Amino acid sequence: MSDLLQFLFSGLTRGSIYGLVGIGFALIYRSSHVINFAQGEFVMIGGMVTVFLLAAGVPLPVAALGAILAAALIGVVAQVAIISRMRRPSTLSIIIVTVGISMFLRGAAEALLGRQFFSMKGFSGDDALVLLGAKVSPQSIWIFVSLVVTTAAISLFFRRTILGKGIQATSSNRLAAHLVGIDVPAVLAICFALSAALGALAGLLTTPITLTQYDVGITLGMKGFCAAILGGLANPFGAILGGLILGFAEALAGGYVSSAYQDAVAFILIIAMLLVRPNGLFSAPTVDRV
Amino acid sequence: MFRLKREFISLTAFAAFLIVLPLLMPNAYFLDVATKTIINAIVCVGLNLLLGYAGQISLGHAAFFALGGYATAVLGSRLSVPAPLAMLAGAVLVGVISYVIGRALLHLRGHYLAMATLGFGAIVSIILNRELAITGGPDGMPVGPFQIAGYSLPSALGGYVLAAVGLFIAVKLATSLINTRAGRALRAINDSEIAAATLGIEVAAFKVKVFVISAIFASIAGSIFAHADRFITPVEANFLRSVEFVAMVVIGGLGSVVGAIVGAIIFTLLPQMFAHFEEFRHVLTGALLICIMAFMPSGVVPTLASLWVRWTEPAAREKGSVHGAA
Amino acid sequence: MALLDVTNVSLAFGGVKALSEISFAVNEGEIFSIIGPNGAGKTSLFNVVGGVYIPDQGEVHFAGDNLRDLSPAKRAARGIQRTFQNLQTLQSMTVLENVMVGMHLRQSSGFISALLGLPRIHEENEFAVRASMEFLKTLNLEHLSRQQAGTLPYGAQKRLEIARALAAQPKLLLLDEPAAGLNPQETIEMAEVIRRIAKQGTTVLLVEHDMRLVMDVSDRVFVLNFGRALACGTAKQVSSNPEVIEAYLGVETPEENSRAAVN
Repeated sequence: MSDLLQFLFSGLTRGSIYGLVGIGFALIYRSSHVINFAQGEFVMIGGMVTVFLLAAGVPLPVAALGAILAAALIGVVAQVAIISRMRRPSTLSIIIVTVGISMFLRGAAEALLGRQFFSMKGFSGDDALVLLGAKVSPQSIWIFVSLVVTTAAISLFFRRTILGKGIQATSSNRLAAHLVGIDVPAVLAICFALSAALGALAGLLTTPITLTQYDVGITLGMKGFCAAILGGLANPFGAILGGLILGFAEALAGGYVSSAYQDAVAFILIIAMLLVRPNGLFSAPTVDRV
Repeated sequence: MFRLKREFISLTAFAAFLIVLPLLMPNAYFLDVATKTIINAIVCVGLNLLLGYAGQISLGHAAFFALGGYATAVLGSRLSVPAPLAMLAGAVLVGVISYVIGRALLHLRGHYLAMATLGFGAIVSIILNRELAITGGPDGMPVGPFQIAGYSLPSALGGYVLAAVGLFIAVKLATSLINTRAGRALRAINDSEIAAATLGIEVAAFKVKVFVISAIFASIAGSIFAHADRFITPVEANFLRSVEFVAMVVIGGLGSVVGAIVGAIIFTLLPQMFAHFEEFRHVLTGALLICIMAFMPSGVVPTLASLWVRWTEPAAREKGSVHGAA
Repeated sequence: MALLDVTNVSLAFGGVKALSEISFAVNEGEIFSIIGPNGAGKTSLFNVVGGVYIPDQGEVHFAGDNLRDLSPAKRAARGIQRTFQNLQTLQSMTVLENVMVGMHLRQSSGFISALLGLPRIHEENEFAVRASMEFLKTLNLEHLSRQQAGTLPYGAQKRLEIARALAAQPKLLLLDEPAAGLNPQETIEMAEVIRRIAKQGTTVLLVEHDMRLVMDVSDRVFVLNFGRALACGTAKQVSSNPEVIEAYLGVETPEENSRAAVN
């Protein structure tokens, strides 16, 4: 019983991180139908910038904010200076460009920081709490609370703000959104900033548990992508649920089946879901209009 | 007839180039780079059929590549199956797997194949890393040279010859496909799926076939790679490898055999050229990828080709419209 | 027996009824036109026959067979071809190649023989080129055979779609607004082309806005309004039907024509 609880806590922690990264994929896919392969690198940037600001003596809240803003800024630059300037972009050429951006960012981190791991203390220390007989690191609680707050904030943002509605309008019909006066390029830039910020948040939250390295973005990016696919790719809240499902499935599979194949769970889930419900677990099937 | 003749001439020239190339290489290092480039080109020529003609993205071709390599390594080197048979077994295995995946998913629209192949590739990569007893795990395993009836070429040159023969056959197959009923059907699917379907082309079935063919090309290339490198590791199944293959095809130019080869050359040579700036290798490669796609979104070869046409035939466009109005 | 039999077909998108209980039959060898104001459901009806949409209710029979579960490709194999209102020429291929693709169903070589470059491939190609040039001649396109389809002017692309569909030697040809965007001279030529197609034994189902063309070529005309059948009969009967005049001919304004031209 306490084993199970332990696995559930671990699943919740992992799942929250995957969910946060997944929302980023979903936001960008929804607004511009781009699968942003650089999303994982924002996770890396979030962790790295926080670690280095802390080392420079900056207090944690400021360091975290700095990391999120840095990632958001890079996200905006990527969209405004590169992606939006492409002439006659096709889905494929945009994918390749985001791959290029990801290689560039990862390579820059490798060149500047080397290949070693960087660690960081938990926000509320590293002494595990005991909850119902299972050990929980306080960082896990930070992670879960951050996911809840972020979800609520995004939901409010979409429903209550002009900007949020502008994003929704842009995602459902870009031309129409443009015609009713929505500044589509600005909306797209904001989506990139937002998803970069969310990726960075996930990165700085998870670093105390998993450490960070120049290439952590590859694995975390892929897991986040899985979360987004499970949730239906275009649905940010689906990505959160997808992330949680993935986190629990991984934790349970790792605990009860085989820890060697824990990492395969995400991909087995993707394939199973594509076979059964190709539009994602939480999306209504779309009508194809010709 | 004219077209056939021209095709014959360019294939002969290409063969001559492949024969002369190793003679121009100053040392074993360069020969090795040439071999790697050619092996990548085999994958790209096959992948281009899928990307450039069927318009489908695969993010798992590295897995097919690695499966071919491991089939050769495990069957050929460990179980002493003759090398050509091991290569064939790998190709059949990959053919069956890709058929099952394609059959299940290719009737769907959108990026489903991309997602499924990404998942499949990751699973293959994990299995290769974990099944130490069979694959040697992350450290990989050694592979013997390509032998026929106990005879093999000297090591480095042997790898090159095998790769060059492979690429020549791949190019021959791909070019002879283009101007046939099947090739036209593929190009039609890429131009307009709805038009293709109303003309009686079974779109999903064609996509599955191309997917299988391109996967088999990758598998054969993987087997050749294992022989050429005399070693194979799970890195070959890596997701980033898959992305690299797609990037090569797109950089060179979709829908052109020459483009696929040029893409492979650019992408394989670039990191070598940046070898002096070891630390900045990935940054520079990433930056270049961005620049090529930003300035030549349709790829290097089509962009240069249209520039060439514009320079040599300034009247071509006008002539076309006069014709049209007549 | 009728070649095409549409019985009681209904189709809705979300809550919007595009077609309500439509029934008609097209006889072999006839030119049968479907007319109606914009949004009457003409193209939806076409897509039901072509297999792009599956009707919510009702059936479509072709040469006695129920088409219900057949994909567009399978319907093509039974002998149904179509053109598109918004062009679907194969832009990156040459004019000749477009028509050669139209011959897909009449040939049989597959990937294996293509990859191996078997001799039958050359025979097949030569036959396809010769036959395709004939179809291009029929539609006055033979001088453009080597051009990329995407570079052709609009009217020529319309004719190319017809040539491509004819290359499949269909029993039934669906023409979706073949005269839209054509100038008066081209429209007259188009009428001639349609009559010739029917004379050679292909049944024609025509959707068209240009009333002169419809009245000129049609054996029978079927009038749709807001997804419902309004009338069916010879051109003369229909054009003198007061309901039709009120619902349709009355609103056929110059503005209507210019919209068609933009399309």
